[in-house]
Amino acid sequence: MIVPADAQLAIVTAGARPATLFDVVGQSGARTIAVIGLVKNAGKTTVVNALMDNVALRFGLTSLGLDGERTDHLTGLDKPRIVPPRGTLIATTVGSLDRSHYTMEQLERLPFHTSLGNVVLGSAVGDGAVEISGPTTLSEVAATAARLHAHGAQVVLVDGAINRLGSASPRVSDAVIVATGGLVAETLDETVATTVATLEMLTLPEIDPQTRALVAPETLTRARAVAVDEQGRRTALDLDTVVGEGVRVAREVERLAAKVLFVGGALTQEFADDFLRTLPPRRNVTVVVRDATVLILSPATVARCRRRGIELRVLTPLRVLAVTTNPYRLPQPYNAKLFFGAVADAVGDRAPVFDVVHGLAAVPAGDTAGRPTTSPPMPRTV
Amino acid sequence: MIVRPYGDTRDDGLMQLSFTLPIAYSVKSADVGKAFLERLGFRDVGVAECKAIDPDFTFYVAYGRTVVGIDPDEVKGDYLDVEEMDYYAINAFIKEHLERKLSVVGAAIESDAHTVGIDAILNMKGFAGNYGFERYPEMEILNMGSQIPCEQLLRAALERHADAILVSQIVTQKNIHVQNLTKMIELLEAEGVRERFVLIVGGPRINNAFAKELGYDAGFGPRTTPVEVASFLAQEVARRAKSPAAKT
Repeated sequence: MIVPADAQLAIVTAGARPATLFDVVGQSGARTIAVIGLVKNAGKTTVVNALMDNVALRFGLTSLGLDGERTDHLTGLDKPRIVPPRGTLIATTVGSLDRSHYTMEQLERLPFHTSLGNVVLGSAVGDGAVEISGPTTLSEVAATAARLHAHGAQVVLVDGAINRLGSASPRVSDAVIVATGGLVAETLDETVATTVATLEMLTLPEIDPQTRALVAPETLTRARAVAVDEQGRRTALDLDTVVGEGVRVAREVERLAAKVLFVGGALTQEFADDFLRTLPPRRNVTVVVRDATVLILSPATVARCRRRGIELRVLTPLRVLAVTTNPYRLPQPYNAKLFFGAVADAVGDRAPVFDVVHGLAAVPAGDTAGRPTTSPPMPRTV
Repeated sequence: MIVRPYGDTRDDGLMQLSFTLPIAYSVKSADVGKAFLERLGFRDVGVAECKAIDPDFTFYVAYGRTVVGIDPDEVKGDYLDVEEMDYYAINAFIKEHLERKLSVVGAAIESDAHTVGIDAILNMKGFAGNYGFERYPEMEILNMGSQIPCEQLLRAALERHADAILVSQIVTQKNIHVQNLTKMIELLEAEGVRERFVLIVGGPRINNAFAKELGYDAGFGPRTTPVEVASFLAQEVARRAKSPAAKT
């Protein structure tokens, strides 16, 4: 735990059931938290602001995208400003500092180029709004988070980009907050269904130890696809990438009578479609990927795979701390309580749900969001 | 320094304005237009033209004087910081710094059927009196056209060991086009090859800050000419070739 002795707001005795998102984050022990959104304008930045204002930790802040700008580039609507408390460590670009007329105590110039200039790291002065835009790639964001920690940040918040899930990757963060909002889909039902399906995709279970031993991921060096049969024989498929090779991989899986397929890179919608179409019915295969962020597919595909006997598993599970709701949509927002209630009911005991603006909370009994779980519960079909 | 519109002399603030009001033309129309411009703060308003363009619409050309000025330095944009070179300089630069041809793959991705943007930059005939990349002897170009799935674009880039991927996309009010653009990035990251490529996005509603928000290395909006993109590309690829840390 890294909660400091002088933390006033974050102090919750260990084991106590968290009542707010701030308790959850304060108790989590997470070092780097990715705040991701299921859609643009899902309320990521509002959550980041609320955490900085309400949790007595020294935060570090950066963004995979661009946040705190005055107006939205696409819609022209006002966006939430970011006013980091004094002492907050910030990593943003020179261009963003310039655009937001913000001055901070600069501590380090990071070697990352972006289209808005270099990334600089500094300490917030305490007043004024700043535009936050970090480095461009995930490995650079990971390195930036490390520098923020090195300068004394207890928890680094990585504000996400549009609908990207990438910053949730264990390469970057060790915990995730998922922001959903009224703009996710046309109707409330669809929005709720998409939220739950995405949550299930993000919390896909870790492979069991026996399968892990079969795949022996530690021995896989840059292998893009490895098929393992009943006897534990491993065959690396001769491929530079599985992208676009769904048919070929399915044929190899069939030919080798594989029980487990390990995919080293991305698993795309196109691959899943081809793979499911080519594989004979009633062939049970466990497909293992690095983590849930490499799934570039519609969350509904996960359930479709399961119905076909294809179980998706991950080497490293993601730790979802909470889901947050934002009733905003155009032209009229949903009623906040109604929207929150619909999402919270559907999410159930998968994760605590919060609306930080309207002060709404739903925490499952016996919630363990504060502590890492080894194996999340089996996802349910939506 | 504050500047004002230039009409006949410096700082006279004189402007020519043209606009349409949804009113039927009548003898009163000229005065309505004049009153409207005065409400906007213009002085010495003179209506030069005032004509019916439809039974219900009146079109105006007018002159007026403004006292409003602007300091160009106070406008903070999101402009790409790049030294612009011409066609010959770019080719010479690539030859000198890369010692091989610069390989580019481009497409309008996913649901987008519009090739006008990618063609303006890549096709030999180019755009606005500017040769496209196909004409550059020091570049190797694959223009894949429109409605290319991200997967196919990625494979082509990997097979050709491309230095850069150009993605063209018309972003509409519906977020689907934005999702096409983020899908490309997520795919490259999931494959672990994001850092191999300079990733450029272009389109009528793209600007440089939005490109950053999406996760691209640069963004180019309307009226972009091939030399602007080529200048950035040549310098960026050379920069990465120089610092191996940038390309892992």
